[in-house]
Amino acid sequence: MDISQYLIAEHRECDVIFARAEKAAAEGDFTTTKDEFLKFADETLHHFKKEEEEFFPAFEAATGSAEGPTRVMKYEHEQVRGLLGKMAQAIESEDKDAYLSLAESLMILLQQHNMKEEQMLYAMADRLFPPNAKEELIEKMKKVAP
Amino acid sequence: MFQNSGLSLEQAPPIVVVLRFFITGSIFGVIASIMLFFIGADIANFSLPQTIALTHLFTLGVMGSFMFGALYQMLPVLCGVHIKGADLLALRVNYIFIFGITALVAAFFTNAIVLYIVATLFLAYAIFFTAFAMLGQLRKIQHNNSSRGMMLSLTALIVVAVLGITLLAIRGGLAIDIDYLWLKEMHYSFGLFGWVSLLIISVSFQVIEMFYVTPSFPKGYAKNLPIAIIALLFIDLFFSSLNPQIRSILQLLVVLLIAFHAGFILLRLKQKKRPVIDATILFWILGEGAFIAFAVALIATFYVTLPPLLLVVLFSFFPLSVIFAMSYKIVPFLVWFHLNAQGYFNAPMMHEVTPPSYAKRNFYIFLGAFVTAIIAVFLPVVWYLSALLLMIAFFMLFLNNYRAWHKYQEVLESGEKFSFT
Repeated sequence: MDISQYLIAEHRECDVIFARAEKAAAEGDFTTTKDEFLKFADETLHHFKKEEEEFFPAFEAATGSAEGPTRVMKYEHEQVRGLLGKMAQAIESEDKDAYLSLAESLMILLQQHNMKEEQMLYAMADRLFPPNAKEELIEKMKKVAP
Repeated sequence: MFQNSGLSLEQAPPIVVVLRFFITGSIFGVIASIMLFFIGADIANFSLPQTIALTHLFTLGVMGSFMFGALYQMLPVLCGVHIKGADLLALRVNYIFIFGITALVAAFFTNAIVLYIVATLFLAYAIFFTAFAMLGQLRKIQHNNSSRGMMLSLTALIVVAVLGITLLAIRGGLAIDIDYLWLKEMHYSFGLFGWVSLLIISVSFQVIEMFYVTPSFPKGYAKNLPIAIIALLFIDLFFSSLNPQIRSILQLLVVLLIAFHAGFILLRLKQKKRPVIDATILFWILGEGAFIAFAVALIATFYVTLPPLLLVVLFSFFPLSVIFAMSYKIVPFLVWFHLNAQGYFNAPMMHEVTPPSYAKRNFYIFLGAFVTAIIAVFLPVVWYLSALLLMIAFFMLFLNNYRAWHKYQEVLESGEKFSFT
């Protein structure tokens, strides 16, 4: 399996859960919003952890640079984490407009982040690592605790 | 190598670059609508100087301004292109472009040679300088779906400008042995189907997926569609003068390709994962729907006689609608993004920058302008109403963009900032 295949599947999974949470919020159903949002936040943060603990260090070691694209990706992860916190507050106060507004920002931020990862970073990693190293890296990522 | 750091603050252009062009574009939209109000039914006469002036206010003034603004933002974000000194370059180009358009419109009205020369110099500088600067950077990157199409769109813009300058030179009295009407048709063809349509197509490959979370466009399709369109346009340019019958076939093919993609965008929007239907989706649907209607009307002209103005109206609302769609998505996001990235606690959320209800109201006014423009083709007195609605629509866009800028400045001056020290 390619690294891109594995990580892109996680992006798509997060998108689907995000959309379910947004739909529930748009309908004013905050119980479902909360459930779905928590799933989305857990999945997203777990994905970030896999990248930050395993994928980025491996990529940095292979390219010899920790100051390039991975630094920007980590910075964007922080921005997403900040927004997730604010969205959780909006759910607590059942503020539909605030939630939908934050969801809008988060989605654009996340989508452009994903595009950069998918089109550049993952694609480079697929070319950079030999097949056995890819399998090994994927196995390591699978073992990262949530 | 990897340059695609897009929205990280050090790579993204200053927000003022985008907003300046977007605000300029919406002001040109208001001015063009006022001109349309006074031209009224005469708009059906395409050779009148005021009609030509109006066309250029919409194409260069509105579409050109929004295109420059969007490209300055999108080249780093979508293509990983970093334009050195973007803020200063954009400021210079913005003023020169405004001056060039004003001179051009005045030249059409007065037919004064000196104004033609001034317009040519200023517009040539703004267009060539920007297009070549962007193309120079685009040449160096590893292409994705959008960047290739943007390159081709900018190439088409250069062709449009060269043809336009030649037309101006002929109007100004230069004697060249060339078919003026053919040149004019090529100028329109490259402008509308090359520059404008290719830009919308290439932008759509990324933003439809990114903003609305839809399945992506197939890679091979996204790679080859812009190439096919530009290839057909160049075949038209180089060979149609030898055999005029090829013209209509080539043009029809180009229109069918663009219409197919318009249908594809509508399909993708139907498949979107996000449930919310905001004004920007409605603007996309209207714009792409208008192009499909244009294609149908064009095919219909092979069998029935339709007023040419109907085709012009249908085509015009395609890019104009997309401009509104892009503006209402990009501007609120950028205001939030730039302030948030600078560490302001009270960075306004997107809906606080531009409430969704404002954008939706703007859509219905714009829709009114579209419907009345179609009616006006058959009942010319309605042009006044259509022009008025269009003017209100552009004024609302201007106000919302200006409000966004004002909100940004307000937070910048008084907002509480997270300290990194």
